[in-house]
Amino acid sequence: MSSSVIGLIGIGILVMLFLIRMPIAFAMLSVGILGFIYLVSPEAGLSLLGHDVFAQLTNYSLTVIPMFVLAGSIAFEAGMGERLFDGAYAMFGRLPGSLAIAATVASAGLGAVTGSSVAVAAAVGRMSLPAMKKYNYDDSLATGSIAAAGTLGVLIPPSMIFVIYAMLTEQSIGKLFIAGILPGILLTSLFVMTILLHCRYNKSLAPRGPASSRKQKMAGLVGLGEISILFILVIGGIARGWFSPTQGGGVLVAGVSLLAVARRQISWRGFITALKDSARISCMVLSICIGGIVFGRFMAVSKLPLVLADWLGALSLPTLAVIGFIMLAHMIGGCFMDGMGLLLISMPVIFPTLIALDVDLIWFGVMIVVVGEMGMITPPVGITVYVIKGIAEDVPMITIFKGIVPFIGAIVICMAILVAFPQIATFLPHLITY
Amino acid sequence: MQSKLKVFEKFVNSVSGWLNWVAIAAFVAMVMLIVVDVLGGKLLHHPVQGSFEVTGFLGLIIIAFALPFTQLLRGHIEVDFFAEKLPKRAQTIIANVISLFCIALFAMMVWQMFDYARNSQISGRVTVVQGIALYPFAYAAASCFFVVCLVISLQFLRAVTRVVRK
Repeated sequence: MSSSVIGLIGIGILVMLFLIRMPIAFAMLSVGILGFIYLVSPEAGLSLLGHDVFAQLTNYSLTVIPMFVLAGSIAFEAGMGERLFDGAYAMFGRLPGSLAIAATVASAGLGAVTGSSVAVAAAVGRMSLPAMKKYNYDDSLATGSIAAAGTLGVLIPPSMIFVIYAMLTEQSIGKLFIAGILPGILLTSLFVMTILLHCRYNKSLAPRGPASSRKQKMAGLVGLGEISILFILVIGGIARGWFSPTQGGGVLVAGVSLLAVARRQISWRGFITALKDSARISCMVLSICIGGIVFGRFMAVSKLPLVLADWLGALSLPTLAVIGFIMLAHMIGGCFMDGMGLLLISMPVIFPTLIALDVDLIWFGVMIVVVGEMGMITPPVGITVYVIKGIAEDVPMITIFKGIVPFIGAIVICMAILVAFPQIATFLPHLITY
Repeated sequence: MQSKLKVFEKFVNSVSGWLNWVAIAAFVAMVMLIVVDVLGGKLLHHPVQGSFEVTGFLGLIIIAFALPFTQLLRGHIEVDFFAEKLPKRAQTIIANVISLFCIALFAMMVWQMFDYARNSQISGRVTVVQGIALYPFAYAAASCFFVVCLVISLQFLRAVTRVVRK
């Protein structure tokens, strides 16, 4: 049996282990080790559990993840999402569907200090859903718009998926962060337009809210301004090479903490909760990363990725068709499993193909994150939908999924625009010279 | 049997809890180190020498020491949409088989990590800049993996006693 067939069997076993509910991290680690043992030697395979796992546990590049997780947790505990939501509402208060628009803008703002869509959806959902209920918003629009907006957290930097993608493809984390900015703004605008169009055609979906005073508008601007300054300092600092992504994460934690303390928005207990949550989430995410890296070692020795690249090369398909096929596979895969796990399985397999096709890996990274966003809101495993369902317990799941459909359309349009104008993703990273 | 399980449960819970506090302390230390390093480097032109090495070790402490508590809370991501549709009995059997498999996986990790720690100690492996010995961290990671084994064993025993009681 050839090594690439063993690689394929390994992927099959991995999927089976996922389906019987083995934790993703442990499943990837087990299959990676067993596959390596089979293809290389028991000594080499077992040594991965010592030397390789130790090297990954102390990998400096991975320490960026706990920092951004902690920044997000502190922002969550300090109720920064609420401030952003109030600020956005003061700005857009008179537009139809203004509360949904404010929730979308607040999600984008919160996405600028956290890399997790779940945290964004939970924070924004908790304060905007009761407000939308109060103003008789349609359940489908209210829940669908927040679930979709929550996904902005992974596209707008800092993004954990970008960190993992950078690690797998040896791209610069700073460039990927910068690359996410314009597509993030584009997708936020498309979500806002979707809400506006929806409410224009059916005015009963979202009655107009009360107007804001000039004072409220000013307070709103300050709220949005604080986060914007912190975002520019951290992401700009990483992009300019002032500090490493991990240092940028540390600066973000310090900045968010200072803001929270200065505004008396966080208690000592809130800090401890943020630290506890961050330890758990970081451990969970980094375990998946380590499992994925070991699985990637197995894929490399199986030579399956090279065989796939050769096979696709021999077909002489246009690059866009291959990319389209990869995106479709990710769309379908994203319906069934976590985006991070999917990325860790797929990238080691498709990476040689992307290199052979000379695909811009920064642009591809943005595209893969946008597709990943779709996976977060599509059934049966739409993670942000479950978060929203947890908040709006009385709204049936089917109502939330119905509300999401127009936003999936917006994501598809965003992808089409990024294919037609890849510069949206590549323009800013090309300005970075290091 | 029940009382012994209770004692074991109490022991595992408290050890995991304490290890989690160490992970939290490492979190705080990492933030402080980074802030001092950035401020020292950018404002005073005196960055902390080898800060990336210490940050890496703190990263190990965060992951390894939080691992038992995360497992205790069943905080790892799983794909549940398929397994949930299986009959309850099948779900219990599969969960127990997975637990045994994970115990074996972590037992191998303990063995290999101890082995790596011993080799590092004998060969005197240290970091490049600050010359920090690697072996204490490898021993610490191996010990945490051992606690994860205990946590999964506890979860397995709990599940088995539940089935036996029925």
